[in-house]
Amino acid sequence: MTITFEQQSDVLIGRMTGRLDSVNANETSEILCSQVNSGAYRIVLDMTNVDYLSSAGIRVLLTLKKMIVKLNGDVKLAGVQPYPLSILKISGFLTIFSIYTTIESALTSFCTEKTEKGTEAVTFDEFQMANAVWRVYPRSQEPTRIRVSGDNRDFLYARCSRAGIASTSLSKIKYSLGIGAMGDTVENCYDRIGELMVLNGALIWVPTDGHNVPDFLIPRGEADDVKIHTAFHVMLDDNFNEVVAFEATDKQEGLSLKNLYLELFCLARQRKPDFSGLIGIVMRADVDSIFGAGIKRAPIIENAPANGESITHRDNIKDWLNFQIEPEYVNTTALVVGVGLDVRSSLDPATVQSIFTVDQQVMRTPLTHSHSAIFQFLPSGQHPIQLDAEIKEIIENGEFLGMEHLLDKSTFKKGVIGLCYIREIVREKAETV
Amino acid sequence: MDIKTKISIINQIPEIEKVCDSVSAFGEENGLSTKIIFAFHLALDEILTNIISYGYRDKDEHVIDINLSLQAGALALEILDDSVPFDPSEAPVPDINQPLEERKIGGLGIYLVKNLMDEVEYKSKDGINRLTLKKKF
Repeated sequence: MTITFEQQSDVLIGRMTGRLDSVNANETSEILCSQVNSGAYRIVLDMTNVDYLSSAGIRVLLTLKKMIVKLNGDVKLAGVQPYPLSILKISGFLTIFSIYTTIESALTSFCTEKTEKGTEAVTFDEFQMANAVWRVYPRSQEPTRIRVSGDNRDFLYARCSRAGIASTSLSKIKYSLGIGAMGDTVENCYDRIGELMVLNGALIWVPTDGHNVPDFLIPRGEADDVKIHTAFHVMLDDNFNEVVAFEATDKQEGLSLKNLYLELFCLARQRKPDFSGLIGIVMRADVDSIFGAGIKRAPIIENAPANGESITHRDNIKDWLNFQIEPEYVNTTALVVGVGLDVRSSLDPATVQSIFTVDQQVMRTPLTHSHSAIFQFLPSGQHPIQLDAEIKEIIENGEFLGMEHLLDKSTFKKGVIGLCYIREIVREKAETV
Repeated sequence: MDIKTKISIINQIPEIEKVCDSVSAFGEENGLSTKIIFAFHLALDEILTNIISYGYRDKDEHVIDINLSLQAGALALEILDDSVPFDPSEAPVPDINQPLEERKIGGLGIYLVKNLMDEVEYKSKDGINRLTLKKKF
């Protein structure tokens, strides 16, 4: 192992060449620690030429990090090669070290931290997966939950009934997606229930009254609160476990919603060994193309298909669902609320089917359920980590274009995701109002 | 038929490099991927470091034998030594979710080996430890 050092303003760059293993661990550790003892407190280690790492090598990095954090400094890793990266991942060190694809981005991050946050460090991990660059900003360590009322199968078989409708107030929900309606009583909106979503204070609902025109509503103040009646409803809080920013490297293609969920599962498995398989997301994204599906009539028992099959059955699907054949909403801004289930999850089938539409024909594919509100394109904010505030800004000032149940082939160029590793599903019973 | 090679070293840390070099040469001769070779480097690095650093109660020279064999669809490694018996499957599992302040390296080496290998088998007989590692490719 050889290390050459270069000072750039107050950051010391150490370019390492060779293997970082038990044979040279002690020697390497001494070299690095002596730099700290001589005053280095911001270090970027260029690991482009380090192709091998063992636990002794991790010990060297950890010793350095512990030492330097005490000085209110930090050590960042740049250009980490695939094999050493996999060792850091397996051993759970991606949450400990800030990792950047290039020295430049590591240096920039030191500068940004200084100007934006004073001496308080903003830590994040950066890496490349599935044709996108990802940055993960750790947030709450608290376990997160979703609240669920109703059952997706009642929607799928159009057997929603008055008795199965749950009522709640918009002010009690931060983010959600579901099937339902807005109205003073269940009775005056029951036959128009359709797809809906709640986005940080706004309710968006497409009534199944034949016009296919969404309602977009932001109540002002408590007195203006709105009653929501749902046949199926998944509600998320805003205590995200991570905020994840991504940018597709292929500007032509974008990242599909399916790949996006797959990468988030991969991330979840790395960062949460006890990951349940279920994630909740709230996303603000630059749209490449949207493929949506929409329900044409209220999925209530009075309208149930005569053949007793689901509304997605080949004899029923045309009467019930609109599918976009051509991509729509090209180059717009989307706000998405969704849930996804990794195929490796051990969640019981009944619970799975109560939340997701399970296609028996297609196995081994992630299950997703996402609704999206689409707005005229708005450039993303300078503070990707203030997701709630950015969403509020868009719903208040953006030009609303429509709402869709998203199909997995929809693609996005870049975005910021509030990610929840769901630990608990809380069932909410229908209550009569 | 399996292709085999045997390497013998003494209980000194710098000897590990010699073993890794032999594994690299064996890997290159038999067209193995870097991924496989590095996984075995890591296993040897971790296991031999443990044996050499903590396995002997005296300061004498001891011989450690390493057998490599290329089998159908897998590479197998056998480490034979006369150090203190140590079964990796009984090693404590490190908590990889602890924050920086509490994070330790102890136990991480064995944890990595178990993660990277498909089979880890330990036997102790007549004062000889025999650890067999196997990885499919």
